[in-house]
Amino acid sequence: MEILTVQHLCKTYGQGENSVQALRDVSFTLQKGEFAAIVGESGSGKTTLLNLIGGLDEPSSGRILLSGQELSSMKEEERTVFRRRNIGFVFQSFQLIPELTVEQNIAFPLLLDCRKPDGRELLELLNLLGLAPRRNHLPSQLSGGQQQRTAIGRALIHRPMLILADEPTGNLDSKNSQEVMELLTQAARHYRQTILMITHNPGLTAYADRVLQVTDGILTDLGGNCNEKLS
Amino acid sequence: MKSYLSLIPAYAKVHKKQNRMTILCIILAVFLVTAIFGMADMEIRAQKVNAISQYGNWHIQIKDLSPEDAAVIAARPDVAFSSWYNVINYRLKEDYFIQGKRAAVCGMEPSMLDIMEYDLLDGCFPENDRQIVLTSNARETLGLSLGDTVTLQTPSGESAEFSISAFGMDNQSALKTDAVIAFLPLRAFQNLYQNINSGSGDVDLVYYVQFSRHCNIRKAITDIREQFSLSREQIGENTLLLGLLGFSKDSYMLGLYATALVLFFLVLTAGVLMVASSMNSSIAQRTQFFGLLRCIGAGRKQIRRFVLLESLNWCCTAIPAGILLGSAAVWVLCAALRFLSPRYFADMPVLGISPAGILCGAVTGLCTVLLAARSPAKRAARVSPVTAVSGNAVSISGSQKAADTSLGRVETALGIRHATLRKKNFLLMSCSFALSIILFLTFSVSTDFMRHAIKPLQPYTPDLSIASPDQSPSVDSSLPGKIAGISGVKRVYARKFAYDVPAVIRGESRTVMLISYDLQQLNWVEESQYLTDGDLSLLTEDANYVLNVHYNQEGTLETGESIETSLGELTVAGILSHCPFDPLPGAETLICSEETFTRLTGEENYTIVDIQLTRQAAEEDIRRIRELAGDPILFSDQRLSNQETRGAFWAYALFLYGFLAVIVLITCFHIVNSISMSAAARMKQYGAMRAVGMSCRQFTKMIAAEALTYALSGCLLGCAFGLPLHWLLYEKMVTVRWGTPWHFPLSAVTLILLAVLLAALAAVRGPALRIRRMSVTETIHAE
Repeated sequence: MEILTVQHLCKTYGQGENSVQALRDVSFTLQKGEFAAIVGESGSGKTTLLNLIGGLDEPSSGRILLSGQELSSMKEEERTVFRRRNIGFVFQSFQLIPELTVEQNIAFPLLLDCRKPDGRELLELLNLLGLAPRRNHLPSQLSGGQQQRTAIGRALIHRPMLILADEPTGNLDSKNSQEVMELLTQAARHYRQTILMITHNPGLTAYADRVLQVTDGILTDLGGNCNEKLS
Repeated sequence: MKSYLSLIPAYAKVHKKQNRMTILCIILAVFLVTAIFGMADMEIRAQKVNAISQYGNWHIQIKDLSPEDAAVIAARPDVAFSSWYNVINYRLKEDYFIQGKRAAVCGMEPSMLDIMEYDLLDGCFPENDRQIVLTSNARETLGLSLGDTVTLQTPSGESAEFSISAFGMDNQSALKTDAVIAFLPLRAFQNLYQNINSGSGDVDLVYYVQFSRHCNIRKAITDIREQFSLSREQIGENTLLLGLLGFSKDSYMLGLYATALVLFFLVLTAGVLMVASSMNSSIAQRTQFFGLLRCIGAGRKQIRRFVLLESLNWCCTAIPAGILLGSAAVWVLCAALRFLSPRYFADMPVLGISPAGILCGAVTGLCTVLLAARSPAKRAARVSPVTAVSGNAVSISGSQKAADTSLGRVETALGIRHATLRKKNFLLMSCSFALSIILFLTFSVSTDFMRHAIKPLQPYTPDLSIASPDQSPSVDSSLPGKIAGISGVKRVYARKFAYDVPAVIRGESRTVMLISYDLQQLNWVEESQYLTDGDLSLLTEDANYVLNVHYNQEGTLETGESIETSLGELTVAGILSHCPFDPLPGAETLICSEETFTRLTGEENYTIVDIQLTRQAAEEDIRRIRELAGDPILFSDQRLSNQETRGAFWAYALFLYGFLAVIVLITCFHIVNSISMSAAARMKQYGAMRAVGMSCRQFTKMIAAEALTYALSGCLLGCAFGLPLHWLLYEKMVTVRWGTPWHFPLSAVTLILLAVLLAALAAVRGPALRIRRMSVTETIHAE
């Protein structure tokens, strides 16, 4: 079942002589439960692609369909609510809300939706993330790995159909990076969620089912994980 | 780059938008100080003009001084002018007449003209004892000209002849009572006095002194007292003028000085808090930048110096802009004053520069910025170099307690938490909001002071009055109609009086004073809401209905009560709280319609006819009115005194309400700016929230919750300190002098709290719009 369909996606920044084509005619699809990694050099257009898919930015041309619904046809407020319910974000710098505890941070998308988090489900997720003993701690009282696990929890709580992760291990050491990656794959399998992850680390593509490479705004599907292709 | 400090202008160039808000805050603080001190300066100037025109430009008067001592005082270098002076028939009650007109006679030396700032319009001061100066109204009303001989008649039957050497400015009390003021040289005055008193004793002359401009008047007074062994009773001070010059030792004036000092510190503190809170926000936004500087190797001292110099750099634009804005506000007020009372405030400068205001603005602006920059500079210097290398250290540091999401919506809980997160910042913001409220409440005491000190003109105040000299109804009933036809006449209204009408009130023999009101006056009663009880429409009916005046809310009669009088039975149709006439001792004041008055007394003619003039009314129009009135009548010209009252009222009211308007305006600006800065400091966090799915409406609610938290805590704090201060100042300024007890300033409190709450809500709009327009990706990835 296709969750994400990207068709002829283009994004140009600036105008005239100063224009920069960040993405050129990008098309691909992702199936439910698929874990895809995007690799590419800095400035190649990876983050732009992720932002467009997440509805954080608008494409210059082309279409993005999430479960058959076109993001660009939605109004701003509608898109926000859609994003809140259907897309989970994991950022490199965690972007947790410093005034909320681990539990509140994880439940934040539900709270925004005026929904009460199910206590049992929340506890299950906290256990899965290994954060149950730290549930009442503030982000400032957590290690980097724990903060990123909280961010992952926030992306998982409302069972979104798509999780977008922008270098989720960029600020973590190797041990924490491994933990986070295992957690992401585990979650994808456990909840049958589709994950699209940007990474600079070729080693991390081993966790992905599929690798997409972006070079100068052009996307190439490398098929299975990057290491396999290379080998 | 010559030094690391060269980074300041370069950094400012790149972060123009970020710095704009802090600069705006400094501009507002300087504007507040410049405008308030500039206005205070202009207000003092206006009041000085007022005081000098009313009481003269003398500083002390000395009684029972020997001529030798007077000569020594006159020779002192710190004495600008001095003169002997006295007046006969000051209250114009005695029968002194010049050509049949009631007169007051002043005796003085020529220097008294300088002391009183009295100008001779035509001619010169008498050169011999047979010459006299008269007020200009004598020329008009008596048809006199320079060189004419006039006869001064005294109550004892003596008369003396003088030739007119000059005509001087009109005097308001002379015009009001249709009298003439005569000025005689000292010797002629003394001769006159001796003639009146059959040569027995010398006249008690008082010695008036005006000190030079830059001397220490207080010291000079003490010096004179000690040198000539004068008692306290011998020296009288021009309290109002000395008070305005800052030299009064009067306990009431000292109280006012203390009040001014309190207000000065309040304004100063408001400025410091405003700048400090904006600079704190600015530093909070740039923790990572300072961390980076520390990382590269900048020492704590260097960071402190960087922040201080940066704030001084802001001053270069902000202080002149604030001063200019403040001066412009003062100019607007001065222009308004000249427009509203052109003759009275002719001396006020059109583009009045207040050196005191500008100096205060610049110095306090600079001091506040330096003072306010101390704490942020220290804070910036404390930033750890680690901050620069860890991406999210900025956003997650400082939070010790989580937001309480169990009580309400998450966005509201977050808004409240954002406000209370940093205790120091919360206190600073609440204090600066509170201070605006305190400032407003304390300044609003001055409105009560003004209402007590200066009575504004009532709608019924006439410019001219034509009255029967013996208070009988002898002014022809057709006169108002004739006068109404003259150009320059705005309104004519007349009254009939019946004095000492015997009456039986509640079984007691009393007297009543019956006054007739025409339709115009009854309309004023209705418009001004003087009727506290009863029905005004009954007065126009064919029955003997009257209104009873309860002076100072005290009266014996009630609505519906009947009174037996020698004119017939009267029924009280209503109670008036106010009327333009003073009560007669022991008599009830009753007001009826003209028809009722004529029916009861048979009297058609009026006792007094009042006239209001248009702005365009010319002297020729006044002359025609006087001619129409004929003789013998009492022609009272109150234009000058009305102008003085109006001038004094406008001078005070304009500046006072100007202060209050500036304070409210600054409060609103400051709130809007503070909320905007607070939101700007969290933009990155907001970006993440938007990415996670927070809607724009939820953002608006979150910022509104933050703004209202500041506003409510500010309101509570402001009222907690402002109300006791209001009470204290009220006691010192009003209760001590007029005895009016303190009352809860409901309207002032409502107004300022509403302004604060509305400004807080309006402040949400800017950041909400910015969030709506924000690029989520750029914000999240921005350094």
